[in-house]
Parts: sequence; C-alpha cells; structure tokens
Amino acid sequence: MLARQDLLRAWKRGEISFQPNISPDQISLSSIDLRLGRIFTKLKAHKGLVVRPAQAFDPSNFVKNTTLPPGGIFKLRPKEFQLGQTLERITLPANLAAHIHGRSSLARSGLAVHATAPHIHPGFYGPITLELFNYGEWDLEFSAGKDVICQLILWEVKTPPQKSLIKSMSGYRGQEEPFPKKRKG
Amino acid sequence: MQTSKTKTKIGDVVYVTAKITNGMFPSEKYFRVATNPPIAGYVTDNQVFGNKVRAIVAEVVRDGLIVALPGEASRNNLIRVPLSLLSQRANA
Repeated sequence: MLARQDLLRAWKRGEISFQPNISPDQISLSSIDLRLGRIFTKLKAHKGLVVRPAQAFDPSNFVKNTTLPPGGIFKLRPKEFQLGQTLERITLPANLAAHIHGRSSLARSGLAVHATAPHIHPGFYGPITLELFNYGEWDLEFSAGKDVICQLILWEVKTPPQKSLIKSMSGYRGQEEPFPKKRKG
Repeated sequence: MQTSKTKTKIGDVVYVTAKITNGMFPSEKYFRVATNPPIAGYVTDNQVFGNKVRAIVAEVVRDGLIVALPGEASRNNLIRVPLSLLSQRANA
C-alpha cells in the first residue's frame, strides 16, 4: 500500500494524475481524498421490469440523470440508492491498482459509497463511479463538486510490468481530454 | 488498418471492435467485446470511436494480443483479443 510519501511522489512524477487536479491537502497518511462529482443517476422503478445486467443491455431508458451546478445540494434519502461519480478523473499506470472506500466520519451517518465493487484495475482512466446508499435514518446532503466523499487507496502490483506499458497507461489515456494534464515536478 | 502481431509492441494503442450502447451516465458508453466469454464494461465516451473502444497492448501472444481496456470492465480489464477484432486506427 502506498503511504503519504509514496503518494506524493507518484503524484508529483505524474504516475497518477487527476482532472481536476487535487491539492496536497487531499493526500492523507495512506489515501487520497476525492470529491463528489456533479452527475447523479437514479435507477427508475418500472413495474415488472427485469434486467440482465451481466448481458448486453442499454440502461439509458431506465435511468434518470441529474447534473447539479457546482456547489448544488445532492440529497440522499434513507434507504435510497443513486449512482454518483468522483469529481476527479483519475489515471492509473500499469503498476498501480486502487480501492475506493468511504470515510468513517460519513459512514457513521449511514453513507456507503460503493456496493461491493471497490477495486480499480491498473490502467484505469476516468471518474470513479460511486454506488451511493444511505443506510441511516436521516436525509443526507452533500455539496456537489465540493465535498470530500471518499478515499482512494493505492496498491503497487507485485510484478512490475514493462516500462512501456506503465508509460502508456499513465499518459496516453488523458491525451484526448480537452484540458491536458498538468504534471508537477 | 488492421493490426499485425509482428508490428505491435507493448504499450501501443489499439482499437477493439465492440458493440457500443449508451452508458448510465451521459458522459459514458457501455461496450461489449465478443470474446469467449464476452467482456463488457463502462467507459468515458472519449475512449469510444464508432464501434471501437481504445485499449493498450499489454502482451503479445500466439493467436492475438492481450490488451488492457479502459474504464470499468465487468470481468477484468486485461483480455485476450484475437487479431480479427483489433485495428491500429479508430476508423480502420
């Protein structure tokens, strides 16, 4: 597992990158705090609907997307499930895997940020999808695009892959973004 | 341009033919590659070009390539893809 110094080094060298970029304050002892994005997806209820999510299906008719303005309030009611995303798009190289986890201070209010799918493979590029569920009894409110909602834990894979693969995975995938990555160091 | 195994090296970007449909978020797509067993996942839409999804070569094997797929794949993001499903250009 990467500790603070390892995380800072990987971030400064551009081995891991974030769009928008993170601030050093988001790097804690052994994880990186990520913020809640602004796009949310609710699964629409349909009487009698059965889906086979492991087969090819187009979910776009069965979901409702909401995009909130920066700082807009996202509300999650008790026992409600919605999909969200991290504000940051992450890019992982071939030699780093990651897990996304909640924060205990938020979990105490009932918030879960993933539904048994915390693992992120090496080479992942994109925002991280959050499976948000409110286990508690209170309405929970978050400021979209601002509140820190989860933490990313990074793991080094045991056998390092070829350098060309690491380089490709830490760089290529962000190239077609409208705003190129800013690298530090 | 179809991918030739001999010209391909680890780290190259290749494009894998897939069935593409809408994703759950407006900025993503769902892809399904007809390998056996099939692999499917969600990617940001800038990784999709027509009926192809962008991938990176992780290994060159006897009958094809092992590529790393972007985004959230439902099984694994490293898959063995036959040369027939691969090209080195998005519009090939």
